[in-house]
Amino acid sequence: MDDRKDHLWKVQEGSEQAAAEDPSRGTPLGVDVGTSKIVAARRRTKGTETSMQLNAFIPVPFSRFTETILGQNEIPYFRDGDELIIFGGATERFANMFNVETRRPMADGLLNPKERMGTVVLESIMRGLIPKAKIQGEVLSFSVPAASEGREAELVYHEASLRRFFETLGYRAVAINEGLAVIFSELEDQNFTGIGISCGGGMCNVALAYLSIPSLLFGISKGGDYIDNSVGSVVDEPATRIKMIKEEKLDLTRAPVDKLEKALHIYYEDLVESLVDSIRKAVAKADKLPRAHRPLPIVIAGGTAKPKGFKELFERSMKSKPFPIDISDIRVAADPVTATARGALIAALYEK
Amino acid sequence: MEPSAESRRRALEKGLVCEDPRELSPEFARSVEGLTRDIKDPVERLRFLRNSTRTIRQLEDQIPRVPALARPLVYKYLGWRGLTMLKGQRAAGIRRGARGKIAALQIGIVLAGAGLLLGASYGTIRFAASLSRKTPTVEARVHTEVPAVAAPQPTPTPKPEPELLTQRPNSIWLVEKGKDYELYSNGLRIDTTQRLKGTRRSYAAIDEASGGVLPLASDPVGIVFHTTESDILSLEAENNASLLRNSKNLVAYIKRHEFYHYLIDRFGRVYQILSDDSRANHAGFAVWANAGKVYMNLNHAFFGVSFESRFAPEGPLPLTEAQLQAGRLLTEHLVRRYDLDPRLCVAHGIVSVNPKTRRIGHHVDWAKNFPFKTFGLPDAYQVEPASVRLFGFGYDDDLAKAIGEPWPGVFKAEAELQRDALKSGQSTDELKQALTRRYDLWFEEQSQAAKSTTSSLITAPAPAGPGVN
Repeated sequence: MDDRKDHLWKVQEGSEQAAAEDPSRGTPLGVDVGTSKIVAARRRTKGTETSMQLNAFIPVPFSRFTETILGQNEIPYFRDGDELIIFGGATERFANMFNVETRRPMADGLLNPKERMGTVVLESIMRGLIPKAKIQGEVLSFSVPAASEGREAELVYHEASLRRFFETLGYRAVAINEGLAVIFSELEDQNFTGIGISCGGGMCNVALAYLSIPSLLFGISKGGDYIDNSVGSVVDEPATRIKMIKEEKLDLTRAPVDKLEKALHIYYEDLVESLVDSIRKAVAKADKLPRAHRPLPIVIAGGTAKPKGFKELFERSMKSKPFPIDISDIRVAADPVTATARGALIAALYEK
Repeated sequence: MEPSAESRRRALEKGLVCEDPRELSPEFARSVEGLTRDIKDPVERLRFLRNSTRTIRQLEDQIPRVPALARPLVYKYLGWRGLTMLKGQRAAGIRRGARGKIAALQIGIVLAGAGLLLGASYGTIRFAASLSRKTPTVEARVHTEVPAVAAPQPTPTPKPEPELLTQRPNSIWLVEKGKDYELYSNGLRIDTTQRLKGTRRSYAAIDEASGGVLPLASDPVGIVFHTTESDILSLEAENNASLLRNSKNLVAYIKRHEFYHYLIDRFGRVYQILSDDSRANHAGFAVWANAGKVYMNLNHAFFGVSFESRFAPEGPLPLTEAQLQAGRLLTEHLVRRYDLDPRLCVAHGIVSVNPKTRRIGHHVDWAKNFPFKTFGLPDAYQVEPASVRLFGFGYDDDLAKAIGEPWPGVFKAEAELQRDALKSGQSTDELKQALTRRYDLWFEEQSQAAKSTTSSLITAPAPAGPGVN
């Protein structure tokens, strides 16, 4: 026996073993069902663990050869008649290879009504990320956008469809507003008081909460996809390619070096202007705002807020005109892509 | 409730529609926010805020009737009530504290009420007496009125509960021995069903003055207290099956790897895993010194006693009442039975070292908050650790992140080192380097001494297991 062995190294092994051996212990889950990505978060011994998958697919003509290649490379797919539907992370690679656009099960934050395969693909992607509940009725909290004007009925359908799907996996599903989820994950130190913004692919969702109680919820139908499509159309490139470039190397603090970067800067500025303007108007006309005893912080999350310089751009836009309430600081979440899922996890643990 | 009202209530609860927070006054917010400082878990913080705001909403009709001056007290009281509803073991201290404050407030109100009544009665009597001196004719009337005023007797101040006089045995003896347990006269009950005979203890301490190896010994000299760092469920009836299963799995695991001599589970059950004359793998890279003897591998010379718990430096004591009591009884038993020096009863976090990085606090369980006083032991946190004083080991940000600042003994030892460095005309770093070479030398010496006598007793250091550098 090794004389130097200490007891603590056995702990992880021990606790994992205990978890594995204990069928009664389920794990609450937080899921961010975003237009562009689906992110799942769960609490582990060491902290919160997240996993994500691209919410996109691409159909390719069926052939035995293609099917074999996909199987050998462990690329997720399913067959639909004479097509193979490739979904998840590999989609963008194939789209670039064939110079076509990826297709989306969701658009503008909700199930895409124009996409016949939408629900099937979305459920396939989520099955890969979310295991069946270990115990029936385990809590799962999933994000939904705020109802935008005229789309309330679509939101009801979207939320109910997701809830039913999660229930088939054995969960008790509860919905949470995206912006509020951001507040839950990022503003704990402020007692869940402040403005949370989730800048996703399909839309930007905003929540103003006071001691965790939402008093203002709204969204704008502009997000990362708006930037990708707009830039794509002016530089004549597929939006999927623009998205990859944007995520890999966009730096908003640096002057643009080519037409593509210039277009990205322009549309980012446009998005932020629209967002700040909407918040300003919504706060100004809100009649249910709390009598806050201190200035409120703003926290921004979501993949669209990821590029370097986004915070500064947002700050500039905030300073351009007076804001109706006092703001203490503006910050971007430490991990903007997983913030909503982590907030949803807190909601799930609270519900447990 | 109407289905639509129910769905609205659910939507409100989940934050899917807006609520009207205007009735939540800034005073209420300030008061509630002041109470959240100690709630480290975001879920519990959320639970507290939601409970508090829900309560204040239920009372929104009554609050305006409370005098403005008394409102902060009402908000505080509601906040404390919210704190008592927190769940989980980590919030146990907060719950206790809040209950104490509520009790103190209630007693305060009773006393204040009683004081007011007494004051009023006393004032009335004095007033009547002064009247009687001036106008005797009024006397009769005043006398008849006094009882009426004084009728409500002041609530008597609660008498402090008399201290219980308990009896403790002068010595600890084995009261009864069954097939699977041992019962001792101080109340300690040890479950012996899992007891294992391991490798026999055999170790060589180092003489601090000469650096020479002392003769091999096989008697235990002290105790190292650990936490299991396993999954800890809150102590609630609904978790009973899982709590029992956790204990069972833990015992089996510790036995398989011969980690500790004793384990105290969450219900305070004491399991003996290794016989008292065996060594256990609980503190291999660890250093402690006392009375001129330096121990550089505590697996042989020290008992390993572990509490089924998770070390939480920022939180309250991570033990159940039952564990605390059982730990105290076990310590008393071991100290008396083996004549252990209380100064050699220490916590794992303060003896653990990493020889590769020359850092202390490689493991941090009980690097803070071990209840030495409750266990009748001297406070080892005040003692200069030999790892720093004799071997010049340091610490880094990781330790500070884990426990805040190191325990006081470390600072004392560092100050001592600085003085030594000044005296010898070296920089502190030079002195530390020389001292760490001493660690390698002495470690090798004591290992060789043990090996040369019987190679089967202390095996040579093998590649470290996961998590050990």
